[in-house]
Amino acid sequence: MPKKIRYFDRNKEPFLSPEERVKTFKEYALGFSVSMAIDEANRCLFCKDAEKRCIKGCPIHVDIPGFIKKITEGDLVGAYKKIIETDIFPSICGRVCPQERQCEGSCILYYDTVRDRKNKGLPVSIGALEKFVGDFIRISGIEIEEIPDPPTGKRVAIIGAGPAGLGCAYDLAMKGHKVYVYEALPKIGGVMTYGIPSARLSKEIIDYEYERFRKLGVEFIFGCVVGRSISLREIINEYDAVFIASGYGRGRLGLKGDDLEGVYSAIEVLMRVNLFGEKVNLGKKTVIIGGGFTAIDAAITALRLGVETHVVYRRTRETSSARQEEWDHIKEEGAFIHWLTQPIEILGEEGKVKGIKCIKMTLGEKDESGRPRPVPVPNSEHIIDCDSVIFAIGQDPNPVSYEDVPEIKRDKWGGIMVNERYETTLRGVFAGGDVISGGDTVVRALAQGREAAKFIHEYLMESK
Amino acid sequence: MVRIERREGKGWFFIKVDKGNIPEWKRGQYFIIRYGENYKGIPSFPFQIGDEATFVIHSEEKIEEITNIEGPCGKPLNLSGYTRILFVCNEKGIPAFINIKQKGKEHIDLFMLGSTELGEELGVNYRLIRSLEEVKEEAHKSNYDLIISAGDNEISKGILDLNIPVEHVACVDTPIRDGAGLCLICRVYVKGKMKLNCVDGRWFIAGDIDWDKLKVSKEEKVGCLRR
Repeated sequence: MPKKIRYFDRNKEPFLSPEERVKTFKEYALGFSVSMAIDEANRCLFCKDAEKRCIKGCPIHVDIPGFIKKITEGDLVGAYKKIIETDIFPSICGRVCPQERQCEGSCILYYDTVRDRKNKGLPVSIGALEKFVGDFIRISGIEIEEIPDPPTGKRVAIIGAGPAGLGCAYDLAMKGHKVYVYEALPKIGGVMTYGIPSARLSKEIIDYEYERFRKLGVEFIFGCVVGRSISLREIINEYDAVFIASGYGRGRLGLKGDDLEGVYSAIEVLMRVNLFGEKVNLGKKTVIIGGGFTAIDAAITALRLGVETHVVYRRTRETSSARQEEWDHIKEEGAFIHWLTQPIEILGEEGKVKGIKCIKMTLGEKDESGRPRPVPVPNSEHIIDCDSVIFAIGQDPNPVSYEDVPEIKRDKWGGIMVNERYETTLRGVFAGGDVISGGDTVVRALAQGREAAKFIHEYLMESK
Repeated sequence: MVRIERREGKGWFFIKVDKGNIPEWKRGQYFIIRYGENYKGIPSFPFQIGDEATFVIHSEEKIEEITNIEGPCGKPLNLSGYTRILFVCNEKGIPAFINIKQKGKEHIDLFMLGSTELGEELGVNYRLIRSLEEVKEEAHKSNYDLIISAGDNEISKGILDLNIPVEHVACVDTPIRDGAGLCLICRVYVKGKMKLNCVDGRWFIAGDIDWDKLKVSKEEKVGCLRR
């Protein structure tokens, strides 16, 4: 008997109510129960051409039908092993990936990518299932053996313990190389630790992943600012290969009045709250500028600090890079979202922020990104009173680690240029993640780190 | 091995570390001393006493365990070409003075404002001054070719306002969180351009700094969040 296609009865992951979740930095998405996960897994059609569908939609190409099949069989260890063949962080990617644009956006129930047409159903909750598998293994304490190859005697330095650095470290350690990761901050994770609020990604998960790396023999050197504490050249001389994954983490400002007291980069607010547990003084009302993941994360944080939170974005919800459901979440929690609103000046009094002057926008012709270009509406200037302004308009590269090594060619934005093998212009030095591609998602950085590891391994074994 | 010595009632903590256990620093570089489960960090200039690296930090909270010592951070201070240097600071700038003094051979005089207890405990030679006007007088008399100021920013600003015709380098005091140039909390406007005290500092030509824009220099009240 053919399997009944369940187009619409998608299991919804339980959430804390908006009233509850806004009071806490604890995670608000509570995860599937076992029965929900198995039921949701059974919605999957296990497409034979999944590599043209959900697997293709996943930047790291997880065998999605493969791991979901294991869930339906009750083999969660098998499901976990299947995922980590490609994605070493199921609990993280299950939480922070924009699945609706990746795997779930390519699920046949929702969209037929082969025929390029919309289907009538709701996609399988692939992200929630991936998270379920990762969480089950972590919480149950099941030890998954990850046995590295015999030691090769090669030593590799990785600059940065964010997703790209960790992805690369994992694969190189599994290949038997001795890996040393230089990290400026006191913990691993990069943006996953200092950027993404605990409400979206519990820091316990990062701690768990850290232990996995330690068991693999990866050495972390925390509090080491490459370029200041030690020069990159010293590192290059000391190791057989170097992978730079220093990210794109420098905050960005850029508006008249951005030197006023009460102006913050989103990175500052997120880092101080997420990593250092501080209560940042945003006053009674804050305005966040931006429409991406960082703006959402800043809003989640500001709301939990008890601040009236406004988000201004010059484009529309549909053209924003943040997840649609996250706009809903912050709105439910009380954020005011001003679409098609361009800030033009931060206003101050006695050196402190007192408001932000904005202009309304309308959508015009398409720009080079293919999105309609926002155009100012004449005479629509208006002021939003506020005590603080948070810039969440993207980040800049942080060149501190490589600025003193001119042989490493940089792009016009200050990031590092690499070839298709992730090699920089200096032999033996590779780079990947946001430092080569600008700000992107965790999973893309992770994928690049793992891909770069293949080429670094080849390089190491060739240069025996 | 890290030892913490508390000076009762004064809020000073001496953090002592076997020198072999932390990386070598260059003149003018600082470390971030982190403590507590939230990795609260205080920037501090290291200096050497015997075989130990010593950090002096000020904290109203009791510090029982150091979780991390990060660094060395910031750019080294290059004093080549200078022979007679006047260092002006209050108590807060003493570790920076010793750090600078230990790593070079120039003649450096120290003028101190305010309390001298820390200076005495650390055995530095200093002249106690009652106002910055004395800096101006002495600069005229003693042919200094560089003035360095440290401690509170008010001292640097005050010296600048005296228009002394001697080069002046200031150690800028801002909050510092990551030491890696990420968060911008430590931004300093130098000749109209944004620099970051954590990675570009902490030493800048005093006259190039827009001191009025150092608005982040006041530490905000810090409290732990419910996690």
